This record gives sequence, C-alpha cells and structure tokens, in this order.
Amino acid sequence: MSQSIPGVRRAIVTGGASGIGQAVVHRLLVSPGTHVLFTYNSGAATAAALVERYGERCSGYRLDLSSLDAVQAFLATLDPAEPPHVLVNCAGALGDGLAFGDIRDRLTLVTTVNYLAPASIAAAVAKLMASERRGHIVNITSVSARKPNLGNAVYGSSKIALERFTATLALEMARFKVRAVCIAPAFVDTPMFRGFAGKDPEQFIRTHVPMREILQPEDVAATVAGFVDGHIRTTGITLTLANGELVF
Amino acid sequence: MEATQIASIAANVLYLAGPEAIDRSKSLFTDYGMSSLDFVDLAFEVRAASSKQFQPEALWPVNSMMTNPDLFAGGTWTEAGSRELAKLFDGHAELPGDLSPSSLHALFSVAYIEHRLRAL
Repeated sequence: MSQSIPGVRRAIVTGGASGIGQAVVHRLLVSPGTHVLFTYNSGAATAAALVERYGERCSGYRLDLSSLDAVQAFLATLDPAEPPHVLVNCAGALGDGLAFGDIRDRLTLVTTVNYLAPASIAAAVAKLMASERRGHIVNITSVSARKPNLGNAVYGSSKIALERFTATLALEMARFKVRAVCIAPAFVDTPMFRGFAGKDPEQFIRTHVPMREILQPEDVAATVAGFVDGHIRTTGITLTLANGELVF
Repeated sequence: MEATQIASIAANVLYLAGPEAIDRSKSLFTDYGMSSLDFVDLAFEVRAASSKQFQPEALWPVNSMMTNPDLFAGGTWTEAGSRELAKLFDGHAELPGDLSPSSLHALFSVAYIEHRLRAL
C-alpha cells in the first residue's frame, strides 16, 4: 500500500482485473486522492495495464481466493498503521450446476471464493478500520441470493451467506463508525454473464430481463462510489440493482 | 496511564456518568456488564490514549491463552498455563482458586488495566 500521505484514501478491491471489480477500480481512481490495491487471480495482462495506467496510485496483488491460506498471507501484508478506508469485495466464482449428486468440489470452491474468503477479508479489514473509527465495506453479492433458479444453488447460497455475515458485521462495526453493505446486482454485462447466457446473450436478455437491457459494470461501480463517498448513508443492508429481474 | 483516565474511558464506553461511577477494583465484565464489543471499544480508546501499540487481545490475553493447547487443554489450565496466568497477574492480584473463565473475568478491573499497561 502507499506510504502514509495526509488526505489519501486507501482502497482495497478484490477481483479488480475484470468485470465489476475493474469498473470499481476505475471509478475509485477518478478521485485523485484515492490509492487502490486490487487483487486478481487471472487477468494478469489487465492487471498490469491498470497499474501502468494509474502509476503509483494503483497496485495489484495476485490472490487465489480459493485458498484461505493465501488469503491470510495477503491480509498479513496489510499495514495496521495504515488501515484502508474502503474495501470492495468483487471477486466471485459462478459454479452453476445441478444441486444433487456429488457436489463437494463445486460447493467447496464456490463457498470459499464467494463467502469464506470475502468474509475473512472483510473481518480483518473491519478490525483495522474500527481502530480508526471510520471505513466503508462493500460486498458484491447477487440477486441469485434471493432468486432460486435451476443450477444456482451453490452460487446463490454462497451469496446469501455473505449477506447474512455482512449484516451482523455492520451491527458490530456501527459503534466504530464503519459502514458495511452488500450490493446485489442482477445481470451485469461481464464475462461471467456472457458465459452464463449461452450462445445468444441478446435473446436471453429479451426473454429474461423486463427492461430488455442489463446493467453495465460501471452502473455497479457508480453505486459503490455513491456509498463510499458518503452520498448513500446506510449500513447493514443489501441494495439490489436490477432491471426488473427481481421485483416483489 | 492513570487509573482515573482509564475509568473515564470505561465510563464513556459503558454510558456511565463518569469515572466516579466505576469502582476501580471491580470487574468491568461481571460488575458493569461490559460486553466483548465494549471491550474492543475500550481497548482501542485505551490504546490511543496511552500511545502504546498493542492489539486489543493483549489487554486481556486470557481469551487467547485459552485457545492455546499448551496453556489450556481439556477444559483446564496446564502447568504452563497456570504459570502464564500467575505471571499476568503478578503484582496485581492473587489468582483465585477457581481458574474458570468467569472467575478470571472478575479480575478485569480498571486497576488491572493500569497494571497491564505497565507491562505492554
């Protein structure tokens, strides 16, 4: 992380080299006083391009979230004397498949990447933020947490686990002035969506999305920015972003 | 760091009127209902006021000691664990005959914190 400079806002973004995470990195770095440390697993070329574009305000850390030992090693690199001001957990794994049969490998991987790892990171960073009596934590979840579909048992359950964890974390962190929320997007135009939507994503959108358009990563990033910049004053809630996919 | 300052911080965390509302020899856990969240709050405030660097757990290391099988195993303190406890409270208080968590919690007072800070 950057050396302590007065007025610098330090942000950590997991999954910063693709999709929503990359959009969040760009959005946060619009503010000249923000320094971002992002993690990535694949996408080394994108990671390098980000660092080159933003120079010393941006650094990347290769982190495999499927390994909690690797997560602990990453957390050990954080300097308690310079706690982050912002944490955005964007990284995720899909792992769609039927919910019956031997699902252990998929269950372990997706639960670790989508719940255990971000929860561990949020817990560790929250403690650092609490000592400074300030901070914003965003965990990116999904409408799949509340909308069962064929094949999304593992993914959806991992996301609602993270929402439940974040709710209690927010309660505990409230007295330390640390805010924590989840943002649950519906379909977002990312490589994950394109892989999910099949051969004709446009047809998929027409049949599954009432507004007939899906979110862009920048839409999610703008909401993240609205929260961490203090324009959305809340904590402990899950904010759904959707184009009609989840209305009740 | 003086006991009055510690008591003032504790009173603030516990929403008590002031340091005079706290008996420095009484347990903040058992006599004043301090929760684990209150403890973290107190530890951060004491750390900032004392200008010492320590993790909150270091102020009351009993909990982490109880997760160390070399010190606490099978629901009881080992010989090494008993020695560590004696060292922790040496110069502050005699250890109770019953070393259960609830008995030890009774020792977490403003006076204990003043004693502990000298060692940190």
